[in-house]
Amino acid sequence: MKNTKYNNIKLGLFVGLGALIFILAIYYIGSQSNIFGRNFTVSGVFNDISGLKVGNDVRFSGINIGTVSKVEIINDSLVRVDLSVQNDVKKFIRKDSKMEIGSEGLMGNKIVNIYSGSSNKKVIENGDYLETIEVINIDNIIKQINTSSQNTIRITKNLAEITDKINRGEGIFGKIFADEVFSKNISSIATNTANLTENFTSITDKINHEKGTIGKLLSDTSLAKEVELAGINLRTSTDNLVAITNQVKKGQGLFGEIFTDTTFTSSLSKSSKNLAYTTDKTKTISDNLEKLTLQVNEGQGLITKLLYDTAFADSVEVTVNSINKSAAEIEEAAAVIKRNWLLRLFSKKEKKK
Amino acid sequence: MKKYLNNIFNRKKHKEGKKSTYDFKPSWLQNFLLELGGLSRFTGNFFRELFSYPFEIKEFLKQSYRMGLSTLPLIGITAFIMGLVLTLQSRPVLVDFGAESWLPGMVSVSIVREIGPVITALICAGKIGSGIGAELGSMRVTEQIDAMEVSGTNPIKYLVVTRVLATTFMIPMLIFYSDAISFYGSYVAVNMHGFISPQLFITQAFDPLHYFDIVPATIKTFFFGFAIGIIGCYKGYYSTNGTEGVGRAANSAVVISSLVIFIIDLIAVQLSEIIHIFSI
Repeated sequence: MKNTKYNNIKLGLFVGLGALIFILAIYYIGSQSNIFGRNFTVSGVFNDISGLKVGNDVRFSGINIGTVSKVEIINDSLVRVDLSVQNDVKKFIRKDSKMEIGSEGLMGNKIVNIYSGSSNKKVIENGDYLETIEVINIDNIIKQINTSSQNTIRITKNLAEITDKINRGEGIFGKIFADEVFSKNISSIATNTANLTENFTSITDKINHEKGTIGKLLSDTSLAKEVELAGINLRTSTDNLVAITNQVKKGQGLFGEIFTDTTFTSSLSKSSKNLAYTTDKTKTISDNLEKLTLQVNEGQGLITKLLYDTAFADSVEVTVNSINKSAAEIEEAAAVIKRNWLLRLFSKKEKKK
Repeated sequence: MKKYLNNIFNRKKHKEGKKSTYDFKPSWLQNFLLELGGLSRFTGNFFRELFSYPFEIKEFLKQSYRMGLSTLPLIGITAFIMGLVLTLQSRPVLVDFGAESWLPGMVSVSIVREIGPVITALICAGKIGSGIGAELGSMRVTEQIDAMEVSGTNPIKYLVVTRVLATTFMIPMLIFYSDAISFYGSYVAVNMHGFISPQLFITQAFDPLHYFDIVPATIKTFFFGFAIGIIGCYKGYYSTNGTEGVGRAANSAVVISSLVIFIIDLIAVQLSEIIHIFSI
């Protein structure tokens, strides 16, 4: 009887411990799934949840704070995900926090990440909706990788063609690698460049040592002052030029009239036309004169005779003398006629009129 | 009915007319159906007696002690080795994938969901099932059961109900212990190749476990226990042919209950899958 009692106590201990193990396991799993303890619900709407299931973890700053409690299709393109989140972390989630579906490693389960919002926003309430960030679909990534690999194939193909061309000595690179003349030229260019740089170094040295104009320009203060003065003068000149052009613009002065006064310009055009006409005529005259002098030089015409023929000059002199004589005679005759009465009569009548 | 069954299953022999109905030797199908029918009737009797007064509490506790506590050392050793070996065997594969940190989780899922309940139930079928079969068989052969009936004690209530109830409740308990000890074995195995704190091990081991793992696994253990008890009792209760029959009863109790454990396991997995799908 005593033995039975002892056995029963041992049996009770056995059963009690077994039940404890079971209860502890249940509680541990339950606490990990947030079944015990106070929770609140947050929701989000996604286009694609990428295989997210009820019971998947919810993380905030990398810490498990809850589980996915419900996944529901709202319409043909949207899925609502309800999250059961511990009440303790409620104060850290703001109204503008965002949620995103991620995964635990490459092969791991899907999880929902909640990102913290701005501190000036209100704390989230039970049943609130959070803004969602759409999932990066693995299929899209694979498609992009496929495109990239195709491009890589094309690039390598092109590279192969290019290297083939280079090997055959085609193109500039081909010449570089295969053409000896070209390479010699390149080498001479390099030598020249070296010389050039040497010269340039000596120039810069001179400049550094205040030799030459540029050196002075860079180091001599008096020259700099002169340059400054020149600059000031240039500025004054340009100012004046600006004033002149302003006057011209306003129509003041000759150039102003030229550019602005239309009557002046029309008269100017007339003048220019006249000038053109005059020059034309002058040209004709000069042409004629040229001809005339040519004729004179060749001994043709009256003037030539006048200039060169002495006999003709004598006869002309005689003729002129005789003309003078005749003229004196005619003058006398005219005086006689004047004194004639008959003629006076007519002249008086004339006076009377 | 019997004639009808004979016509169906033994038509050839019947037509030949070589054997009379007194020389009836059942075919394998008939044997199977007979066993199934007998077991069903026996289960019916068990439930009828289960809910009728008086309850044999003392006998139930005695049987529970015998089946539960006395089996614990055996279960403990096997469970420890099971956890240790499973971890050591799985480790190289996970190390190849660089997923050594998943080792506790993988071992815990396989122990809690499948290996723990099934292995423990099979060991219990070997120890407890055969014990019940042999005990009741010898009681039948030595006509103690008949004596009980004559003396007014209900043998089904006293012998069968107490034992079946004891296995139904004790085997789940043993499985809880087995799972816990397997976890310890796994922890030891993990620590053979490096240090991991018990807290981290527990966290990693329980991390992939969900209610869908532990609840169906626990429910099926009650069916395992019930199957071991009822088959052992049935085989022992209806054993024949003297001491040879006792041995046969013990043997067939182990074989059939082991087979039934796997069948129940299959059904449980399928049901839990369906429930899991519908729950989503």
